[in-house]
Amino acid sequence: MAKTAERFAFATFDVLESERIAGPRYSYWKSVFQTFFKRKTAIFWLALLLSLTLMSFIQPLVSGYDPAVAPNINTPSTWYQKPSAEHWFGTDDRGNDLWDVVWSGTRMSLSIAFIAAAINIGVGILVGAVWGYSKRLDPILLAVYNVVSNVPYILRSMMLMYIFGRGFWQMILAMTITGWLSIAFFIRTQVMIIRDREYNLASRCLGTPLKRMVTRNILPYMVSVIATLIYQEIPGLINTETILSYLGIGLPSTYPSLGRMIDVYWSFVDTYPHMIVFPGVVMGLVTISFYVVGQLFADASDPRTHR
Amino acid sequence: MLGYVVKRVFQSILSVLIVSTLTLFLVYSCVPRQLVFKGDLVLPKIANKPDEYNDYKFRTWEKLGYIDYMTQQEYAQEVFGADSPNVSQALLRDSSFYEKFRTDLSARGYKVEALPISGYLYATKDVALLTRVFRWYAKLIQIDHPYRIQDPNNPGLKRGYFLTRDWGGGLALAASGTIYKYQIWVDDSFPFFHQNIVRLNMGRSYPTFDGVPVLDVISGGQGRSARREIRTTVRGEEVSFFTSIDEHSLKYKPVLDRLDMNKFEDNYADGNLTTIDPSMLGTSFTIGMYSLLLSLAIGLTVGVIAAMKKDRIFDKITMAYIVFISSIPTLLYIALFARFGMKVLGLPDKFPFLGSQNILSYILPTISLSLGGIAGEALWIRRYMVDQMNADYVKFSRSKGLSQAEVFFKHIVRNALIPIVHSIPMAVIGTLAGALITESFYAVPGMGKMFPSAISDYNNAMIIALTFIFTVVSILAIFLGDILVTFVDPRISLAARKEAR
Repeated sequence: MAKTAERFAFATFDVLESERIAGPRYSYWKSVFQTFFKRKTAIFWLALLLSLTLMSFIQPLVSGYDPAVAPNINTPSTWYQKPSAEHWFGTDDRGNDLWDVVWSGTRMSLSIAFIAAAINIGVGILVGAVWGYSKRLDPILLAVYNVVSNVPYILRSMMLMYIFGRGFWQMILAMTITGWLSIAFFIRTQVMIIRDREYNLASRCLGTPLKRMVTRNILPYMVSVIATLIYQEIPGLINTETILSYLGIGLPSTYPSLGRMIDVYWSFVDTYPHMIVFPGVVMGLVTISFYVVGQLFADASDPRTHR
Repeated sequence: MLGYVVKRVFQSILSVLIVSTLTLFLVYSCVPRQLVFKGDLVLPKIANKPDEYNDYKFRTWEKLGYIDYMTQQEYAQEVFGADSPNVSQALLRDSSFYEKFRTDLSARGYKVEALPISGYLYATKDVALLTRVFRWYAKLIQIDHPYRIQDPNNPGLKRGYFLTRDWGGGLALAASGTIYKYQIWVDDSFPFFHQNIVRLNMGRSYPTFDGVPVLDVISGGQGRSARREIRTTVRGEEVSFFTSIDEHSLKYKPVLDRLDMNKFEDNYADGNLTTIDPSMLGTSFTIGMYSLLLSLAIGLTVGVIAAMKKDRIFDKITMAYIVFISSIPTLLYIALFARFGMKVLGLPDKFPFLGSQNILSYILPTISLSLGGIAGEALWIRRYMVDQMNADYVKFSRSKGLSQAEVFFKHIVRNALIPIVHSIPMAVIGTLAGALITESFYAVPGMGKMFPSAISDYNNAMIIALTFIFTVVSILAIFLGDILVTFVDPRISLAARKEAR
């Protein structure tokens, strides 16, 4: 007994010390960004994405390009110019600088995709969260979903575009009026899976209010799911826009857009390939960078990848 | 199982009804009716003749079901009889018939107006939206029977069914007194068994393919008519003649001419022409099916190999392809592939260059259509396989000492294929939607191209019919997928399981 007393001494209670051993500090968002920026490819694609987006929103303000006005239409010498120091992307069949055309087209396509994606995802998540929780709402929304989802999305948007007429807001309406449904359905299924997990059961037993359950327990769990939705939604909407505009039922000719550019310039693909290459490359880079950045971000936002 | 199928069929029919009713409502109420004339070729020619212009416009709207239309002359004929001399009297300027027309038709709810030049009266009445939708359904299903034809000039028309042989020598059930002569027949073209008894009528196409029933536009042949020599017996005499008439489409013709008499025994002499090019439906179906097979064959093979060689170079290339295809717009990769196919492989990048008879025309559209499908199938089978790789049953089979190939092909692939089988019918829809853009890009004369062109021509009947057909196909595909998966995986039962106790 005495020996024990020699070897061991009573420790004094230290508040600061007890805080320290409580475990390393973990901040979810900090870890997300740490994991994300650890990858060089992520930084590269994010930089590309940001510069393309910024370029397409700033450049048209500077250039003042308007497809309804073709100032060089009567000076044939300015038509069909190959890329040069003066015109980086060359000029088109009406003497417009392709550099200007490409960026305002990108801006239009991106604006539509951003607005429509914001509406689709916003409404989709809200409705989906409620849908997943409400047992009374479920059969009604499920019936609506079953009817609507039977019609392929592109067919639906074409149909709606025909009904609403051609234009910027009409196109957004056509894309969003049923577009949120599939997202809501997806979220509903996810919420249903997470809703009845043990930790939520425990939380409910302890009397956590519904609002807190949704915002604190369930939504954070779904960050990676939502990130996945966003990165698939935006290239998907750009795709829909190009298809509609290419088929001549999307934006009217007074709007520049990537789909319209392919439509209009395709007839010059043999004679003046630069007119199709530059819009095509920009379009490809924009959509790929969205997709890749989104994918990497979704990976990073999954807590299981955090160290 | 049976109960489930019945329930699903009922649900599917309900779905189709809801979608098409919604479409009808939206198209008829939201698309301005003035727009249907955008593609009309007659209207610009009579633009400087206000009377004809007015008349043509109202007649077209009447044909399309927007309004009821009555001219002064028509009403006079209705009142006095078609050949009565009173009809021309009623049209004279000081006739009291003007007043009668006004009061009678106003009483019927019509709006009466005068033509700008001649001053003749006409009356129009908007058909209520609900009535229009109801009329579309009312005439949708047409059933042919031996008392269908009521021709006052042909009281001796025989009525009844009889077995006969058609020109090709095939057995057929024919009838008299019906609209169509051949009711049921068998031949060597898909789906081998044909009938004319129940036909769908979705209205007539306008302004493109003016006056042709929309379903005939889609399912009828295209291109030049194909002539062939026919030997048959007419009234006991052996005859032989060249014709391009498709005998299975023969319809009742009230008045026969001498040429008809030489070819046909009875009044059934009004047939469609056989053509050298397949129908829109056939063209789309051929391309869609081959591309589906291609995407399954290539996509699944590539996906399985990528999963087996996970994180190696083959897997990385596959993933890069999948990211490329799923991120960039469909239009872009189809355009890119078309250039590659034309410049490197020397294939035509427009379908009509070589036409439907040349197999080379089909190659690029088919492969283009399958590019997306390949990516999809490869992505999913790879993901399912990777997910299964750490499953307990796989570890168990490894510990039993099975070889790597046995583990993969006897266990993992078979399990991973289940969701793929479920998605095969869905892939049919995928080709359908993909066909919209592919067919437009390659100018393939198919259904996919028809939809956008119907939209830009404001061909309402065609748009409604195509939406109807696409919806039916989609619903059928999803349904088939659910049924198919129960055959592949006995663990899945569709009927809701009864709660134990």
